[in-house]
Amino acid sequence: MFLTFLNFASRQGGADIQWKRHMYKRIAWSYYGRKRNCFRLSIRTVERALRYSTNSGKPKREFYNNIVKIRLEAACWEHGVLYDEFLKTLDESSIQLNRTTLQHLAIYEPRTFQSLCDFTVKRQGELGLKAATATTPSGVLTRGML
Amino acid sequence: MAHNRVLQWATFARSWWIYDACHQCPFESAKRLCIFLQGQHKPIYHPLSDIGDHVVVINTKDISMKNEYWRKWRFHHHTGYPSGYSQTSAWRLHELDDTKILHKAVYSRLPGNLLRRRMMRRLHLFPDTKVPDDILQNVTDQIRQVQLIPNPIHKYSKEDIDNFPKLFDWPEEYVIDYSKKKKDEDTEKYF
Repeated sequence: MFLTFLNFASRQGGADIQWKRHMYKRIAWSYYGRKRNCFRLSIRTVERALRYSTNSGKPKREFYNNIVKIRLEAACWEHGVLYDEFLKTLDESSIQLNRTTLQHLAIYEPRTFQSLCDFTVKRQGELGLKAATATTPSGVLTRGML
Repeated sequence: MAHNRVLQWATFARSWWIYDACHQCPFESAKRLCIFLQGQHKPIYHPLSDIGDHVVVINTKDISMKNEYWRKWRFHHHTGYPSGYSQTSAWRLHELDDTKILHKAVYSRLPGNLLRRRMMRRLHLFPDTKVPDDILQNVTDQIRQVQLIPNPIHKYSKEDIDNFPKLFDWPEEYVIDYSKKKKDEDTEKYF
């Protein structure tokens, strides 16, 4: 008997196919009907379910980023500072705190957040024309140069 | 430093705000009021937390709309029954009910979820300054008005007008409003 083509056609050498079916059965244990038990029917549903489970990554990030933004805006409003100016001033002063950390500070460490807001207000006052018209702080030796 | 229990209570308390809608745009006001009704003015905000506050709005009868909106802005209503569709202009609705325009503006501005009706119940609208005592007693703070109301000219005293640092003024002969031009005898004889 000529068996060489049969040898090429056989799928021997791989792992037992039952292990793959066992994996799918673990995922599809709660499905309705024959999708639960029959491999050929369950792969269709399980593969779709696994594909759909990756959909939530982007909207989840956007949802929580939006909440963090609203919380920071509220916290800045409570201290009389604008949100955009607050973040910009922190960035310019190389205070490297991300929005998640700032949001946590605003909720659980309110006085720390207040000190950050006061810092930004003072820093904004140091820039531009305000600095020229402002009085010099006490205890600073200027030797008549300022 | 206060007790932690007091701080917790103060953070999660539902406060009452008052807002004067006199000469304010209803749509701009709604933008501001929705923030307080949803609780977006609190650092502990979450859309499902139900941390919105009560808002008491007074002087809704003195609301102002820009340009031709009083005539041209239409409110649509369908009773659900056949031929139940009707349109009303803003001024007509305002005549029927002074608070309805602001109510609809806030309602359409809030997110269209199941919490919307609950938030609308926390919005208290009054056409004038007459607010029941039990509501006024709860009010703790005021929301700043959205639009600056400039003073009309008759509110300034004559001294303020005279002492205002004018750079220049038009000469008397210069005609700005032709209907108010004084009749000139030299030109009148030609007519």
